[in-house]
Amino acid sequence: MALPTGYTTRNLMRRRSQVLFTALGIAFTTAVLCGILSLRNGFEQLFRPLGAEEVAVYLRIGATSEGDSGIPRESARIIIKERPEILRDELGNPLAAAECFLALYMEKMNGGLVNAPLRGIEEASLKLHPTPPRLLEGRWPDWGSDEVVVGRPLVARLKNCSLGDTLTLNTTPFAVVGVYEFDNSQGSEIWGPVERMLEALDRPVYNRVIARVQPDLDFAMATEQLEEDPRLSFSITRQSEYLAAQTTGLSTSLLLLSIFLTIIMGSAAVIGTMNTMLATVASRTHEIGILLAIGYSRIEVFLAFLLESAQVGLIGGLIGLLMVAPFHGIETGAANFNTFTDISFSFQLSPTIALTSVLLSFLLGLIGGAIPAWIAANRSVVDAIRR
Amino acid sequence: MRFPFRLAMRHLMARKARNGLTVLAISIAVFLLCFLIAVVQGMEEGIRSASSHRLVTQSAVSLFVDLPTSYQQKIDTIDGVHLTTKFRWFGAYYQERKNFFAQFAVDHQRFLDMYTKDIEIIEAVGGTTGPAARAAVQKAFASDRRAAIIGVGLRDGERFGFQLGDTVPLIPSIYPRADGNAWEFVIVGIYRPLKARIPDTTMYIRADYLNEAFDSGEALGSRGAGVYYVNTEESVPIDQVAKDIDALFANGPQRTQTITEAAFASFFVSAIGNLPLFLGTIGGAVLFSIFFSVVNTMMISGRQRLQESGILQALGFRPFVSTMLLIWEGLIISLLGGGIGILLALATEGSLIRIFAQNIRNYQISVPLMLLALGISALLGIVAGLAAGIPFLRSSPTEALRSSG
Repeated sequence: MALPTGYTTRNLMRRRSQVLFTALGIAFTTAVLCGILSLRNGFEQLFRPLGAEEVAVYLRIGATSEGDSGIPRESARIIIKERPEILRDELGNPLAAAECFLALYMEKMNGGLVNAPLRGIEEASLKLHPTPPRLLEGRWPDWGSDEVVVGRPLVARLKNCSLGDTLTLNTTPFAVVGVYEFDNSQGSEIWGPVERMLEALDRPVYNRVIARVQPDLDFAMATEQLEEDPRLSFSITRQSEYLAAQTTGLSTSLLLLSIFLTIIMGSAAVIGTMNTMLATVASRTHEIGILLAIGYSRIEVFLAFLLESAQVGLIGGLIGLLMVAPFHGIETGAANFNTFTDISFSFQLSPTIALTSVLLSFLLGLIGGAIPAWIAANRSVVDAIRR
Repeated sequence: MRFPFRLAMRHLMARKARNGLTVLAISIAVFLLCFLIAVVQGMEEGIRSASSHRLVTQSAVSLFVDLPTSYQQKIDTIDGVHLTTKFRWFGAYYQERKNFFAQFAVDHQRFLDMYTKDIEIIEAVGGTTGPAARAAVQKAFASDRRAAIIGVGLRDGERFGFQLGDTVPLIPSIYPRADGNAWEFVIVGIYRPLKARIPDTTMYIRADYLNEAFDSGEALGSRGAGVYYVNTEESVPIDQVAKDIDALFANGPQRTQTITEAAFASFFVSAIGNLPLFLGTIGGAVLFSIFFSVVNTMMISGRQRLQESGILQALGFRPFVSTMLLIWEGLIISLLGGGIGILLALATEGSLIRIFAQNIRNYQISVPLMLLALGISALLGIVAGLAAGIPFLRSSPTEALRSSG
């Protein structure tokens, strides 16, 4: 005989409030998992920009992030002018820029200080990325003036970051002349001419050189060549690898947190489901007897109850998704542990995450329903009918 | 009539599997709740332990901008300043990057005098322990420019195991040496933190060693101070001292921003993101999910108990007694679950501290926290019982008697 699926669904409909309550327990578990994974996804996406394979980052040997690194001015010019792997634009200028980087104390709109990333850039910085930054408002800075542009997320989050504001670096005022958008981790920074910034901050060296390189560049060989050059002591890394290394701290923490919470909340949700299903089985003993008596096999009864529980799980999963969905796209900020600067990122609910969460809810329902379904299937027919 | 306590206990025992599972669910939730609250409280504990007579003078521009060493003399002359020392982040690691711990370069003549109430020196090189150890370390710290004082965690931790007298090589990530080798430090003293804010895995090294190495070209970097820690006199208002320091450097070369030690510590916590809010949201979700689970179980009990409620009413009990029975049942179940959850949190305290190490500081399941958890469990049980028992108040005895459960 076919599985009595209609029977299970109708049962669920009859006990709506009870099903809803059980499902809500699963829903919250799904929502927490889904929420944390979405945050992690939003954070990681920033560090996986398109075309990062074709961009290389030069740092001082031993440095892990640009904050640690220092590149003397002469060395940076040698790299930019002489390195053969660096591509050139149509005018023959190298697609490479020396940049400085500093975590700047900035005031948040709602009070409190934050470490905002400040980057000194050159004209080439705007051209060398395969998907270059876009100007949303105002204009790019004039390369000889004390001017900055700010990333779009900062305008709403930090003070002194709107078009027309003045931002003081140590004692030098810089005018905010533009707002840019850039779909990667550099999208929430403050940019200005590197030379003007070094002077304002009284810093002697750049932090990194960034360049567009030949797509088929052998990085191992380039590293060797760099090491052999006595004038330079730099390492060259693919930007994609450099960025991947930058995410590990927060990304791993969020992943561990989500697993930890899923296990704990999941076990509580499973217990809740089990409870409901045990009650269901107890109150329907008579029906179970009848099902068995009219010829349904024990396996079919088992599957029917298991299915019912899994359905509750699915309903919970979908409710959980609905709870998280409104957060999609909402921007927040958190510290990138590696540079200790604040970067803005958003909840990014992806199909994979949604599917994982729903699958989890289904699984929670299955696990929670297994024992009650087994009990149901193993009732003695005579005893069950008598009740 | 008297409240039928024995009936309440019979109810609990009649549904062992169901009630046992609910107790288990609650204990898991309460455990998680204790964990989350303890993590947040641990962070706040660090801030609270800051000295109320200490300021931190830092660059107004960035945490990563050094202050000139010449500032120290000027700060020393300000009215109300008792003692200053440099604090500079060194950022090296032992053997591998994952073996990371904090190192600060400090003024060796002043550091121990500043931290009298913050750290206890438990052993000095040569084996001196007890009250004499501090003076012995002071002397040893001054005698070798490579001298270092370490926290007890670096001695006892599995990954390090540094002993007194050891020469420890540290690989630089910020200040490379000209010869490309590691920096070497000699352990001369071991401290134990007296304040929650200070980790037991910090190494304090000599600022003059670094600065001389930079001056001589032995290492790459420039002379500087990171930040200045400033102990103030109790007689002078601390805000005034802070203002005076900042006024001194308002026109550069580096503008300063002087804040209390507590504000400095809380900046580090808030810089990670709004963790209390984040963990609070999760805790709320956990509570809600458990709440629904418990209410649901109680409602199942309630539905099956409608007929009994009719019988009780026929016997002369007021309808409210049936509701009270459910509340009583819910209370016992949730308190039992809460109790187990708290015990679970207590039992795992040690191992969680070991697993999460530096990621959760000052993790402690305190008595107030246990009481809070117990209170929340009690509330949970009462509300669940009430929600499940309300229908009894509305149904007439005949109706109730007629129901089949």
